[in-house]
Parts: sequence; C-alpha cells; structure tokens
Amino acid sequence: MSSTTPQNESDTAAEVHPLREMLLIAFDEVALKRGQRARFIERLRENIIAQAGCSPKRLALRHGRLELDLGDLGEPESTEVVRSLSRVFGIKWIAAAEAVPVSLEALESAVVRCARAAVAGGARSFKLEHSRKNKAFPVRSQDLNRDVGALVLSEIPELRVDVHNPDLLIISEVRRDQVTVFAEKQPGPEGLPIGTTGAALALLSGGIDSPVAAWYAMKRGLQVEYIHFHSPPYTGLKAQEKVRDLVHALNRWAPDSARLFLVPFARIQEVIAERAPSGYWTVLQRRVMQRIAGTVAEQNGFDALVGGDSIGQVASQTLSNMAAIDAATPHLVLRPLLGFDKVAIVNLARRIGTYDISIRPFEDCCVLFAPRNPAITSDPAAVNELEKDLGLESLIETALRESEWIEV
Amino acid sequence: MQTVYLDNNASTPVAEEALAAVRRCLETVYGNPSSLHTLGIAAERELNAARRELARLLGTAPGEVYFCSGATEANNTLISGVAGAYRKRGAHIVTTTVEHPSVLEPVQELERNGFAVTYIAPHPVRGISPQQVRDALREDTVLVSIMQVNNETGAVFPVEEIARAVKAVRSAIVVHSDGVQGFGKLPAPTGALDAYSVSAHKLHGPKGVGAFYLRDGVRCKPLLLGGRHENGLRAGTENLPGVAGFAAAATAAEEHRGAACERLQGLRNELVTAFEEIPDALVLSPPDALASTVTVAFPPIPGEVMVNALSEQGVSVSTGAACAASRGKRSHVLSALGFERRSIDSAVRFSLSRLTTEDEIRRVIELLEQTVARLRPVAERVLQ
Repeated sequence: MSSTTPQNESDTAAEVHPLREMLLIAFDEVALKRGQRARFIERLRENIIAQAGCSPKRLALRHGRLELDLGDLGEPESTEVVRSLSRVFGIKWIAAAEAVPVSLEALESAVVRCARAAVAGGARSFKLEHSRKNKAFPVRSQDLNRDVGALVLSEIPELRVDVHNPDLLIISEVRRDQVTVFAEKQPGPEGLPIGTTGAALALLSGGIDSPVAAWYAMKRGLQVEYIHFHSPPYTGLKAQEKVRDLVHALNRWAPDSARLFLVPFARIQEVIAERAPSGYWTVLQRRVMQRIAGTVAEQNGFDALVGGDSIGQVASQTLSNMAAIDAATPHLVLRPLLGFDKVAIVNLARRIGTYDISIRPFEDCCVLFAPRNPAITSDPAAVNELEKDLGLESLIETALRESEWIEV
Repeated sequence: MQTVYLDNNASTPVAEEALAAVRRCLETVYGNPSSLHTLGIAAERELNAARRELARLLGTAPGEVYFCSGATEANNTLISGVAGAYRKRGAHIVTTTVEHPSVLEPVQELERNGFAVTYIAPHPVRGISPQQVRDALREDTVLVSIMQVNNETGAVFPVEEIARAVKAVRSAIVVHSDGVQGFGKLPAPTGALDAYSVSAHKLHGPKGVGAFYLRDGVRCKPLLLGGRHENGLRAGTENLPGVAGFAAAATAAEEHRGAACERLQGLRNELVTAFEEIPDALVLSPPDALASTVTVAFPPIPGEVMVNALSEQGVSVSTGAACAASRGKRSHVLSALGFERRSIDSAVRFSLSRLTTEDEIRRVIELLEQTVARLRPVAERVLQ
C-alpha cells in the first residue's frame, strides 16, 4: 500500500474539527497501476462529485482513502449519498465514520456512540479492532481493545463480546492527525473509475443481455455511449421508449449522461429479407449493424464496440456465425458476457436495474425478421457473395444520414 | 401532417364542456364536500348536482349513483362486493369469456375462493342470447355479469333482455353490466339491471373518474374503507372536478347521441366498404356492432406493425389487444370468439367518436390502402 504521497493529501491536524461525520471511501489499490495512481484517483474524485452531487470541497484524499465530509447532512440525504456511491465504479467499500481528535477520551466516546447506534439497529454482539498507525499514541492496540471493550460493556449492557461472529465490528484507526471510528463497510461496485481506460460504443438491443454487457464495459473504466437499431414500422414507439429507459438506468452508474444513437434499420431488413435466403438473415443483419456501429465509433472517437453475445445462446452466437459477423469490420468488439450463463446475466440485470425494463413485451427489430430456421454455420464465401447483391453501401449511407444522436 | 385519432375505445379527447366544468371546480369549488363551512357546502351542492345529472342520464334515482375512480374500480367493487354480500345465498356466477379484465380478474379471484363460474362464449356474429344465459343459471347463482358492448369488437349484447330473462327465473339474482363502451352511445339499460359500471374518459370526460349504479336494496361490500363517502360504499374524498367534468361530458354525449349515432353509422359503412376492397382483409366485428368500433385484420401483416405504420403517418389506432402477438399473448376476446390465429395476430381496431369527421375517415382509407400494399409483401416474405 502506498499511503505516503502526502503532496496531494491534506493531513494537517489543524483541519480536523472536534467531531466530523464523514463517509470513508476505499478504492481497490490492486487496480491502481503505479504511475497512473494520481490520474485514477482524480478521475474517481470527479466521478464521485458528479454521481453523488457533492461539493468538491467536501471530498479529501487522506491516508490512501477518500473522505467525504457529511457536514450537517442529515439522515435521508446521507443515505442517498451512500446509495449513489454504491454505483461509482472504482469504489471498493464505503463506511460511515467519525473523525475525532487524537485522544483516548475522544476515541472511547466515538466507539461508544458507534456501538449505541448499532444497538438501536438490532446489534447484540460486537468486536473491536484497533489499528495504531500513530505510534506516539500512548495506549497500545492490545490494551485499547481491552479497555475500550470494557467501557462499551459497562455503558451498553445489551451488548456482549463475540470475537468470532460479531453482529458489529467496530474499527478504530489512530492516525497522527485524527482517530477514525467506523463499523459497517458497504461494498462498492469495484472496477475502475469510468473514463480511465477509453471510450466504447455499446450495441443496445432492448433485450436482457446488452445492457449488462455495457455495464461490464463501464465497470472496467470505459466511457460508454449507445447505439440502437430501430425498425419502424416493424418496431414501435414503445420499443424505442424501452431503449431510452435502459440508457437512463445505465446512466445511473456513470458520471455523465450517455447519449443514444438511433439508426433506422427497416429498409435494410426489407432488402435482406427480399434478396437473401432466410437462413442467412440474422448473420447478414448483424454484419450490417456492426459495420454501421463501426463507422459511428470511428467518426465519434470510440475505441471499441461492446456486444451482449454469450457463446451458444442463440443461433447468431455460434463461433462460426460470430466469426462471420466479426469479419464484417476491423473494429475491436468487446463481448464481456461470452462466458456467462443466462441465469447469471439475469441476476446481474436485476441488480443493475435493467431487467424490468428489458422484459417489457415490446420487441426489438430482430424479432420479426428472425427466420424460423437460422443457419448455425456461415460459409464466409457465401456470405460475401450474398452481400454483393444487396447494395449495402448506399443503404448504410442512407441509414446513417437518417440516424441521430439523442439525449435520453 | 394531419393527425387522426381513431382509438376512442381506449380513451377520448376531453369535450369543451367537461374541460370547463373541471376547470371551474379546480379554481373555485375547492372545498371538501364533507366540510361544514360555506366552501364545503358549495362543493357538496356541486357533487349533488352532478349525481342528479348522472342519475337522470342513467334513468335511476340519485341515491343509486356512486362515484369512483373509473370503471375498473366500479367493476371490482360490484363483482367482489355483491358476490361477497350474497355468499351465504349461493356461490355461482355467470359471465362471458369476452369481458374486460376488470371483470374477469375479480371473477377469477372469486373462483379461487370457492365460487363456481360459468363462462358463456359468445358467437362472433350472433353474440349472446338471453336463452343462453338462462340455461347457464343454477340454483345457487347469485350474480350475472355481462358487458353491454365489447371493447375489442363493438359487439352489442342484449343486456336488458338478458336481465329480464334472468329475473324471470329468479328475481334475487343480481344482474350487472359493464357499460364502459355503451354509456353515452346507447340508451342506458339500467331499468332491468341491478348494477351498471361507467367511465368518464370513454365519453370525452376526464380520466380517473367513473361511477356505478347499484339498485336500492341490493347489498354490496365496499372495496375501500375509511369514511362514509358515497353512502359508505366508497371511502375517500370525492374527486369533485372529475365528477363535474364527467357529468358535463355525459350530458353532452346524451345531447349529441342521436345525431352522432346516425353519422357514425355512415362513417363506419365507408370504412367497411373500403376494407372490403382490400384483398384478404377480414372484418372481425359483427355487422350489427356499435357503429363506433370496427376491428379488421389484414393478414399476414401483424396488427402491431399496422398500428406503427399508421402512427408514423399521424393515425392513432390500436391492435385488438395491447400486447405483442409475436410473444404468443393473443387477445382473449378474439381467441374466445374462435377467430384463426392469423386473423387475431393481424387485428387492428378503429374506434371512432362523435368528433370523428368524414374527412378523417377518407384520409385513413387512403393511407390504409397504401400501407397494406407496402407492408403485405414484406410480411408475406418474413412470415412465410
């Protein structure tokens, strides 16, 4: 752990108020590459400020963690802040904490306050953990455990000690400038701060998988925007609303509101259905989608495409068909769900808040033009031959001309 | 782009008279009708006036009219409430397979709680006869619920004759009719009925308000508890702006009913004639359906695709049911009437109102011919 980069950390004792309520925000050190650390932390700070809507002045880097000063923020607001933070990628855990001056009395009363609050919430057993980073502090960790533990027991008779499986683990950290006391660590989403690894364009179909794939791309620090192929009149306005709502739901995990690129796809589907054998419809449509998405990515500075494919889930997701689809463009296509089972994808979709939107019964553009018996292997030569007759270039050009970026 | 609204069975534009009444109440009659002061009394008077007006239009006594949030609540209250009140007398209900879900689902809930139910399947053209209903009655029948006009096809069921036939067998059987699609378009059949549900937003009134008629002396348990409003049958401060708007809309509907009926019949004939000229089009509504509703299929074009295509051109219509045919959830009404899957999946409902103009119908006919011609080859290829 490299907690000694004091040049950008404010840790002068003078800044510590007698009692500060705050949120401790820990980030995953492992992910923070040497040399990139400052950039990653700065980005995380910016993302926290944007997503939790807090003032930059309240957010300080101290002892290798971010401290968000709650000031006079009351109960519902601070819970809301914690909820927002649990959607900021790069955060490992969050804990409500008290910072008090470096003294035994202050430490004791902070621990007792913390225990009392937990008892009100139903805790019946506890365990103390002390870390004495400040070796000048007169009491050793071991003795602290014994003395403060005895004090808690005498002050709060409802509590007993349980060192193996306590309801409540109270952690106190004695630093040079402050003592920090906290109990519950709430897990963050982990991953890397959005905006630290590049930008990607995610294909959003309206189904269950593609939003989850986009979420994983964000989790690895990518700034994601979206592309959707709609097919009026074969798809309706409700299907479009559904995709907008999916982008809304995904935007809750990101510092900025991502936009949606809407591409009209009906004409292309009609031409494919008219001129190609039905077994190839899906692969041909997917190849065109990938070409269009690739072009949009190039024109808008996205480094990769993101797709929701999972191996073998539907006919277009055989290796042979994926190869045929990938061969359509030189672009990097990220497929975070390749190895996921459907159940795992569904569970995650529920967690990230996209499942209920995805299952609304409004079909995306693939359903009507999905053949009864799709080919599960694609002969690349045959695919190339078929595409020659389709006049794709002008169709794609027209589709792109009629497409638009929309703010959801 | 000229817009044409032909989804009046789903909801209607608010009539000027209704809008004025709602506005007046919101602005000036804001007291609680239960309050004792001047503003409370003013509100109570307004409420009573609306109740008298609805009673006049329904052909009932004011004391038999209860306001509520809409026909869904009215149907739920009457079905659960009446069945619950007469449970000791018997536990058999007669209804049809083509009722609105706000009737079918409370009935199914009663079924789960020990009631027996006979579902009559109407004929797609001949509908339901009083004899069919009489044959379905049992010793322990307590409730008959049959809609006045079907929302998906416009089929009119002879609820007054049905009620008389039922009463001739045993007068104690409570006869209810869901009048949502009939009220304001047909004479109110309340004379023979014990209970009748109506809604404001289907006749150019505001959403969120409805009423039911319950014959004096018929018992019914309330759905909502918490006050003596509506004679103890529906707790909750009355939606006075809504109620006033409802009364104004219903008055206007009755005023225009005769003329509108004749005009709508002409418009319907024009539509049906145009449909008949489109190859393979199949009118699913019976010939004697209410003039304001025509359901037609253009197989194999999915109904949703027709709705989307017309919507792009400014025309609002509906599929038979608001769900995706491609997911196998088909209209329960059209299924119960025995239509082929192919027709059900392609069904499109055109529902007119007294505000619909001849110009609009011509525009729709023109667009329809082009749209079907454009979409049919694609649909044939894709759904082969």
